[in-house]
Amino acid sequence: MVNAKKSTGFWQALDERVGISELKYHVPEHAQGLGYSLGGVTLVSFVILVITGIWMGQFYNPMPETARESLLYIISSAPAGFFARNLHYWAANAMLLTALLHMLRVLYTGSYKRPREANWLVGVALLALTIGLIFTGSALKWDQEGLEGLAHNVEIAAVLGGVGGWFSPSFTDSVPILTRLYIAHVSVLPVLLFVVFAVHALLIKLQGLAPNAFASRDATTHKTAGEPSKATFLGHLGAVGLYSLIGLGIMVFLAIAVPAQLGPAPVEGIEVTKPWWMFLPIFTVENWVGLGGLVWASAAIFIALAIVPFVDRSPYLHPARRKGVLIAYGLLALLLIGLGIYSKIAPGAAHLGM
Amino acid sequence: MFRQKLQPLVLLLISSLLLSTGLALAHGGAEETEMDPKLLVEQSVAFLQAEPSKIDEASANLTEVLELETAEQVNLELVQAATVALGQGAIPEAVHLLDRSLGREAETLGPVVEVNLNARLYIAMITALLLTALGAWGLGRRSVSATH
Repeated sequence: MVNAKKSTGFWQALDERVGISELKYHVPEHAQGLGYSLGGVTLVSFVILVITGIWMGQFYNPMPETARESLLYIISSAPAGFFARNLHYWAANAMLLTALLHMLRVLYTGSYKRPREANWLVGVALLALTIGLIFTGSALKWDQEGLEGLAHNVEIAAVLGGVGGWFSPSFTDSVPILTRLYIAHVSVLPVLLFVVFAVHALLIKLQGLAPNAFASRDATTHKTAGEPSKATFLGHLGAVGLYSLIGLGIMVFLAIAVPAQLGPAPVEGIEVTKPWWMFLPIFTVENWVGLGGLVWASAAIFIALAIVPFVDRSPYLHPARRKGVLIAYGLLALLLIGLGIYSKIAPGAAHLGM
Repeated sequence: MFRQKLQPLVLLLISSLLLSTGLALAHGGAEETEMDPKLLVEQSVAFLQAEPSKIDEASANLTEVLELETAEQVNLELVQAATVALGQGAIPEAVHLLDRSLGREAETLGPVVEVNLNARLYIAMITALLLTALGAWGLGRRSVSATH
């Protein structure tokens, strides 16, 4: 009894100072499910990436002459280096996978509809930043795949002309491009991602979570912020925490059982590797038409994503009332998956004029 | 209503247009330049390690090296031996000879990362299972309390 009083007193004191009870505002009841917790799980993966990335940053040397050697040191000798690198690798996979599933859920339930169009665009920007982080990270391991990734980066800079100046080695002679990609990977992109995520979260707070698309066939979009409900945001955070705990358990297991590989030492002038799974669909287009196809296909995918709220303007949320848009984007998703599988099994091609 | 039905089609058309623009872009061939023999041997090693199906490209590189009268930093006798090994389909041996021709120890197929399970990793694996079980138990409890 005395303990209970002490505990209550402690929580009251803590709440008075940091305002935990302010998080008990109402959110729609469907917010407690996995589908509506995927965004939070994605954020937890990002936090794991930041922590493991900071740890690896203590041992990684981003100079081309020593990058590979320092990575071998991380794998073989650095304290917890083997585990940190593998957890970083699996958390990156998990972050992109849950972000894509989150976007699919938003697309399927029409959560991008008025007044949430701007937030959908913010979400597309977050996806672009996530892919940017994965790309820069894959170059940093400085094996044959990393070198070829960097070579693509340089050639794309040439295709983009003046716009791609920053991605070119000729941007400056004083810092190697690998080092600048490292700076982008550990500071520029994570800071941008954090700022854009803050806008994403703020807009969700202002507009409230999207209404339940399956409440009825005639469910329509509207603001839910301030609507009475049995569920609270604190409860939603609890659900996100529990799903993330399961995700963390799977990631830790994979980090030990299926470690990230490191390819052979990089050799300039040849293309013999294939990229990571998320880049495989556009790699196929590149195989067919060359480097320009990579730029245009990427642009086409992101434009197709960005225009979703502007082509589907009806207020209805139920999938049965939005068959056209769902079929169109379902076909696009199938096309990308098909291109990815084809790329995985088809022989690679040289694109870089090597 | 009719306009709304057309919108997905418009979207598909825009996407197809952008994709076809990309497909329409052809890329030019590379200019041929005289290659450094050391780089040619390194490329052959990488071909054989990463994509053994490119054995012809590797052989072509080695032939080019052997046509040179002198090659600094490359032992041509060992390259010749590697070519013979390659002709017999002995790829690991060829890679080993090529590595030696460059005066370095063989790094066959790169440093493949292997798991050496020790006590600490066993503890981490058990922790992983406990985390997963804890998360599942918590979700189960929430589900039960929600139904009551």
